[in-house]
Amino acid sequence: MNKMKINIGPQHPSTHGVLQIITELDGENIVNCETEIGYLHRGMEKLAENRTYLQYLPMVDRVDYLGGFFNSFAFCDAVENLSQTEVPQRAKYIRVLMMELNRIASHLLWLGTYLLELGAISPYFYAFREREMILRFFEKLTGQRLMYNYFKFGGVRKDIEFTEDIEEILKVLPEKLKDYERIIADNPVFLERTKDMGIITEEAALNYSITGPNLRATGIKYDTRKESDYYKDIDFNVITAEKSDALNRYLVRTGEIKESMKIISQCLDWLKTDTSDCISSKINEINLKLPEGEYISKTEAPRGLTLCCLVSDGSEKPYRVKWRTGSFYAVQILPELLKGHTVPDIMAIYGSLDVILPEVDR
Amino acid sequence: MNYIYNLYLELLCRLGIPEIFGEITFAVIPFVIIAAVLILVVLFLVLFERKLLAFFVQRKGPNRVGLYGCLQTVADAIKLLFKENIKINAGDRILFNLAPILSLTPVIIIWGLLPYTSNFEFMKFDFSLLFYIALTFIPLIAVFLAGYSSNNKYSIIGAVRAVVQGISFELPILFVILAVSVLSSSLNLYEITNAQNHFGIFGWYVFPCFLGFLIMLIALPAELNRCPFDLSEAESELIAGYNTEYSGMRFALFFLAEYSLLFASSALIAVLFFGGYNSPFGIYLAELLPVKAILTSILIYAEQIFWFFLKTMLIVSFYIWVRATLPRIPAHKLVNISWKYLLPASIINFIIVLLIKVIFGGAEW
Amino acid sequence: MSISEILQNKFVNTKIIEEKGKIFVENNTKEILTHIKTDLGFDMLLSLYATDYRDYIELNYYLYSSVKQEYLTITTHVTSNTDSVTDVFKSAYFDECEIYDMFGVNFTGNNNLKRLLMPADWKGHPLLKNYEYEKEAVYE
Repeated sequence: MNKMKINIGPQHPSTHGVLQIITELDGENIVNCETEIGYLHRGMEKLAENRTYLQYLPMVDRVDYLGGFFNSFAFCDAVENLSQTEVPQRAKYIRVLMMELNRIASHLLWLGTYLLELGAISPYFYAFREREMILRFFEKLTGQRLMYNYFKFGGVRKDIEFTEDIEEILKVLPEKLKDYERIIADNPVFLERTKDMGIITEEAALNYSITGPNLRATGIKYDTRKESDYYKDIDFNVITAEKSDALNRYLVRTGEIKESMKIISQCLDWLKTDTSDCISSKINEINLKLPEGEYISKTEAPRGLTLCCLVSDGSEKPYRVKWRTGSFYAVQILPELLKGHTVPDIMAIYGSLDVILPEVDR
Repeated sequence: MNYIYNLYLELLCRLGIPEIFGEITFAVIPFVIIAAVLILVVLFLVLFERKLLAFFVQRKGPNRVGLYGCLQTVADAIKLLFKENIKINAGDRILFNLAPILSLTPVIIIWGLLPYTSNFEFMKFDFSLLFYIALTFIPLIAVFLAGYSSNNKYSIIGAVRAVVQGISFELPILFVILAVSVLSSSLNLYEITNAQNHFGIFGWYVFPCFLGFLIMLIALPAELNRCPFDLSEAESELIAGYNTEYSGMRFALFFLAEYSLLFASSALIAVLFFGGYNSPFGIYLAELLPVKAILTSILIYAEQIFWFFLKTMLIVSFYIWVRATLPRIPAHKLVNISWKYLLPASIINFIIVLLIKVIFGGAEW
Repeated sequence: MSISEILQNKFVNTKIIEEKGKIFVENNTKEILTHIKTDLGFDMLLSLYATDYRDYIELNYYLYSSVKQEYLTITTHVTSNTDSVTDVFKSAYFDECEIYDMFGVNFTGNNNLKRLLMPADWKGHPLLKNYEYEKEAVYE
């Protein structure tokens, strides 16, 4: 029986970017599968070598545009560690607050688009309605909806205002999440399409270096936030599940939204009782020259672990910047997961991995 | 009807056209009328669906073109007219051009079979229900021809899926129709409607044949390739399935066929299970008027059309509601549903209906 | 005993030094990494990246142990080719393809080394320090 080679992408309504999946089909079953990346390669790492640290900082948001704060934080953290700058406590809490709001926005977008790929059209609009509230708050505070340029070396640029908006979000979101659970998690069609789909075993996850919610759904508790001293006074749980199939990855991400809300309310309480107003340390960011050395800074982005490996040679431009992102390895494990499934399962599995292509191609 | 026919012949005679021409064309005029009404109703139906879907997700539907957006579909149709007509190079050109026509024409005939009122009938013959079901096979074949002749891998996958789906869901429908025809002792859609008129709302066939009603409700979207069974035109996987290669007016014909078949299928459910044009109160309000004249009979017809459209639109709204809620069911599990669940259920339903008919032996139900 | 001492005791022929918080290994990376994975429990290769120091290319293996929750960095200096570690850590495949694409390092043992981010017919290796933009971008 002849096998048919069919090409999904690179222009496709639901590959979250430009990814080419070349599948070999036997009827509706997938026999073999390859991925092809590189359509969105912008040369982020080479660009860093010709720009000063301050000139490179606004470009860093664009490595993963749905988690702009996380990339920004990774770069700022690396620079601060190499230059031995102390970040004031108030700036640390503001940074945590913004990052967790960004995590909620990213997970909401993932939720909407994942269900749109499965065929249900309403959760997309509902998720974007909540995400709009968060983006409006970001726009009021930083002036931008998606690429913020709000963190700077040594702190943040502006003090936090409009805290009523955050309280409004924290009041509205839990009820809406309950609604989503009723329409999605109790939906028998959704359960049938995601249960036991695309199972990542523990050994496969460790071997392929999967991080983030995909790894935590297997049961391994690896969350960089617990090791970071930004979160040492904040109380939150690391959500795990027993087996990493598409349904459990969905449950882990919705659990993380709830944990993020807890973190945000704790940060907000601390910021209200805080009396200092120092939001950044005095560092000359225009002619910043870092001493020689290397540093690897870690962030727990919504899609996995993001590393920024910064190598400096004493001049005012970085010598080498390397971005390690979580989606890069999720794309690598995709052909393994798709073997033996049928064509409708491609989107159910690929969507649950939460891959975003700018992060993969940089 | 004879009165109008004679008037028509006299008019042609005055104009000098031979009588044979009048005899032939008189049979065609009703279909021209149906086609015109079909286009108007489908225009409204497309807008209704978009507005209702938008209401479910807390948005407004189209509201710029015309008052509350009522000219939106007209604008879409005019836009499709202006699109470039892509002709395929490889692949079967004849079948490619034939498929949209084959998809729409049976639906126009189906619209003529439906009982809108008790007297203004276009086609009334003894096996109209069976003819109806036979005609709904043809758009299915048209879908397969469209996918096959496009010379495009996505289209072939979509077409094969559509055929598999259509074939599996035909059998439960046939069994349910068998049950309904046993209840009414006839396959004539008009007689089925009249047979439900005896006890007011309790004479409707949804009560004895409730399982059959549920089976029809589930199986009909599968025939139409409609959500949640729209695997063959799944946007997120196959671009657009069997109509990937179609553009312009041909695409509009497929679209028109799908929506008019949706209306016709909902009308079928309304006729078979909810009493068609019968009012739920048993008598028509127009019969209560003290003055009996030609006006009364026209009011009765108007009321019958009103009840018919109301019931059909309620079922169409239910289908739109289902579309807004459920994700897509994958192809291999879909066929499961038909063969493992719907077919045994339809056989059980048939047995129940036979028992009811024997117990209430011969009484009009 | 620190990790570098454990490794030096096991692999006496290769030079293993600890400097600047990283463990420098002269060659024989594949066997050392196999030993680290099986005996010392570092089971995740979080990242494999390279830096161009003009005379040589420095490869960094950033490892993590999910059992002990510790991090470890192994470095080597490479000129043109080295052993591939895809048999030890499957996640290294994409990393090595990217390093080949950007730096021109050949990994023997990696049976499907291809260009990942640049187009398949690109000439030149972009992240090298002596990469010139105008000359080497040739599309015939």
